[in-house]
Amino acid sequence: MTGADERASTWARRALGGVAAIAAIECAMAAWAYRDPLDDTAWSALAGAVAELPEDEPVVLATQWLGPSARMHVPALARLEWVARADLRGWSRFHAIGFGARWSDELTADREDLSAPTRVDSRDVGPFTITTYEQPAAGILVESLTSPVETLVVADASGRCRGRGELRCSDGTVALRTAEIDYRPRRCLALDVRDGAALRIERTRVATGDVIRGHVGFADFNARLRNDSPVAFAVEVDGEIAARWTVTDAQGWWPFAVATAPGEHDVALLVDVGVGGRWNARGYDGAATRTVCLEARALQEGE
Amino acid sequence: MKAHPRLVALALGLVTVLLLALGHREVGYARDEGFYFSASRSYAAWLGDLARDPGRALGREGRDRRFRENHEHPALLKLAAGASARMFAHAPVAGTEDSELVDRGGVLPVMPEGAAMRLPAQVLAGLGVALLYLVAAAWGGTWAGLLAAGGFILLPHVWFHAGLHAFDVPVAVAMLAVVLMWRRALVERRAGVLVGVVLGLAIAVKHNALFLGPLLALHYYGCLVLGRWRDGHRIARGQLLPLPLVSMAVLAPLVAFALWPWLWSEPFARVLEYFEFHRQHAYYNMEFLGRNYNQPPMPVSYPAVMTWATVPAALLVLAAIGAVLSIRGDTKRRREEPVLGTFARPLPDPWCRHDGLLFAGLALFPLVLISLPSTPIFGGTKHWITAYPFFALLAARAWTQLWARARPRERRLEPAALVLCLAPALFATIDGHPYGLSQYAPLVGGPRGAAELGLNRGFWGTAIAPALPQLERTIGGADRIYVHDVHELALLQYRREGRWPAGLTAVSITRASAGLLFHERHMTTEEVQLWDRLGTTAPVQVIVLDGVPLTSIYAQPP
Repeated sequence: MTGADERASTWARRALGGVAAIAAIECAMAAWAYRDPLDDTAWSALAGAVAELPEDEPVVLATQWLGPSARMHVPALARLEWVARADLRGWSRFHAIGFGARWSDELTADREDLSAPTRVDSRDVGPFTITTYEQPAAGILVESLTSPVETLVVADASGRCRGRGELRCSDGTVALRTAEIDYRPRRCLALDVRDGAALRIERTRVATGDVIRGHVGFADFNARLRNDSPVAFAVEVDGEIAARWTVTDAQGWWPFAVATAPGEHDVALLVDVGVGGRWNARGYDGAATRTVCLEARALQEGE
Repeated sequence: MKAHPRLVALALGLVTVLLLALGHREVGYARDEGFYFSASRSYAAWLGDLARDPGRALGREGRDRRFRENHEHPALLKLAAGASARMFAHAPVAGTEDSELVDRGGVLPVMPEGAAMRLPAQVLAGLGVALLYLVAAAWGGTWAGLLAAGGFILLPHVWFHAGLHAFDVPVAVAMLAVVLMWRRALVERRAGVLVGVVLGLAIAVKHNALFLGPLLALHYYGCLVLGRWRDGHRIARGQLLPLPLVSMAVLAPLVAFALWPWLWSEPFARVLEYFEFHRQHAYYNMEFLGRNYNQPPMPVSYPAVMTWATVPAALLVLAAIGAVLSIRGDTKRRREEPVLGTFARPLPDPWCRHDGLLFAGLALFPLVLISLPSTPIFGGTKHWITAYPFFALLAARAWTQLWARARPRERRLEPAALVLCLAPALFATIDGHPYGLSQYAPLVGGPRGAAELGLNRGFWGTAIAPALPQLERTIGGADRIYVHDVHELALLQYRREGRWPAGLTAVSITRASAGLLFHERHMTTEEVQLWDRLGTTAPVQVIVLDGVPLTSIYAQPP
């Protein structure tokens, strides 16, 4: 055997050894990856553990892809107000369920500008981890300003919108529902209204804390693809415009805040939807409305 | 006694077909299959028309009536599927017959219609396995042959697509056949003629094969230039436009045209329409690393990352080593006495035919094409599945050359090493079945790892078949269901085979009392609409793969 042959042989043996090592690692990882550790027993143990948590403390997922199974097996994880939460505000203490995770990107997004919550407890229940967080700065919910619908006075240019549950306006409908915004479920007031509609959504003599916080978003990824036009949005407190913004679907679940003096106020949300339809291959279709979603709450965040 | 390679290849092919035919009974009908099932019935009816009244069947009206449906894809595989159903399919359930044609099942009714229609594609997958074995076994013996065959069919996504009545694996196999014929065509007159016929057949399977002509021509002229410049061969006039290229330019279009009766009228307009359809294919949605893509620019890294995420790394590394060794081997060939090629034998020995470049180029081309930011990525890995036979061949090349340099006593380890290298793919395929579209490689962490990374969970609405027998009970007797991504023609196929609950009607979300939801990032819209409609966020059943939800079944709470 020549020196070159010897070198080639050594190289070949090393290459084969390397490939075999990779394959061996893959076999070991396959044994771990290709099994279902989340059997009925595991879910049942988790459901039992979650049932023992205080009923008013929110329980959410730290592993987002568990969603459907988690909602099926654990009633607390199916509660709409927690699944389709607006953010983490008003939650002074909550629990996150994860599979090898204690926190998630979704929770970070929902935290917005709040400081990171304090982890006060973490325990394993089978393959799951229940982590408890506290965040004293999350504030206290004083009042929802967008639900229930019966407490709202909604009007468009033609006058007051009427109905129970779903309000019918001359320009469309307004209803409280769950909508997909930026690929997340959000509970919000859904405005399905036509081009040029301007809505006034008002609650009179409502208790407020020191801040009104809320979100504006656009439902349905298809509609977002087919209409990028912005809406004009304003918050009016006691007849005075407190703030005014222009919001587009590129901003996702867009948060807003308006400082208020604690007490009773007349609060109105003013939405000018502008272009309400959708563009498609055949042109503009004004009848296929996109849905503008908004929610607002009065919170007490200071002492 | 040593088994003859052809017998082993035949056995491997037959086992592949048998396992696909049986195993894919559990794989739900894909959205696109719905179109192809319906079209196949129509195309097969034309065969019946042809037997009964050839004059009328061959007339424009007779052809267009039967071949209008799904004319955005060539007819060959649908014709074969329709013929297979006419041979083997059970009769449809009463009340689901197609009034436009004779619809009484096959002459030898031994399987459901969908299974019968999937059979031709499965036979082609078996052919691919046999071809890969034969080629690689000729290089490096049985183990190299098994590596090539297993390195293709055992990939979970290949296995999934190989069993469907769709064109992706069939065209991958057809393209492999063209390339193998091409290699012979460079030295043999008969193959030089046949390569055009085989290319025509491949084009008649799916349009991917249209790229082969230019790519093989590029390979040929590359060989010619390198032979002249590097090896000092003289180029004869007959080599400038040789028989294989002429055959591909002349015979391939004729064969493809002959096998697609839709093109027989207004051929130019219809061919243009065909190209235009694929040039302007609609963009659908695809999740990649946590983001939903539905319009350009698409991520350039998508094919590379998804290949790594779905093909076991040991096979990818072997393929890469195979490419390097093959190309290096070609360039290091000893120079020999220059020889003149001819029109019929354009690159005879000792001309270097650069197999390494050929296989590496064909393995990379589909990935590069899909990497272009303007190319839609909605089909996931199936869009570059035509690369995988060449990955398998390159891996077998590496295997052959590396073991050839091992010491004799080390060679006794070859079978064990083969098992080790194929085991991850085999585990992945067995574990993923019948949801192979949602399966991911071990190094990614399987389906759970992919879910963490934000990779696509599946598409086409297939992950439902195993739940169908209990569906009625699962949804508590609801009679109106939103079927989400199950296309109405796929639903019709379930109905024709008696697999869909008789009293269960498919309706829109706004009328539904139950619903299916196939989990994809952009499908959150439909899921929350279902929650609102049904008044619950909790499914009554979740179909999972290794704990990762693929499909949720919702029902209105009592």
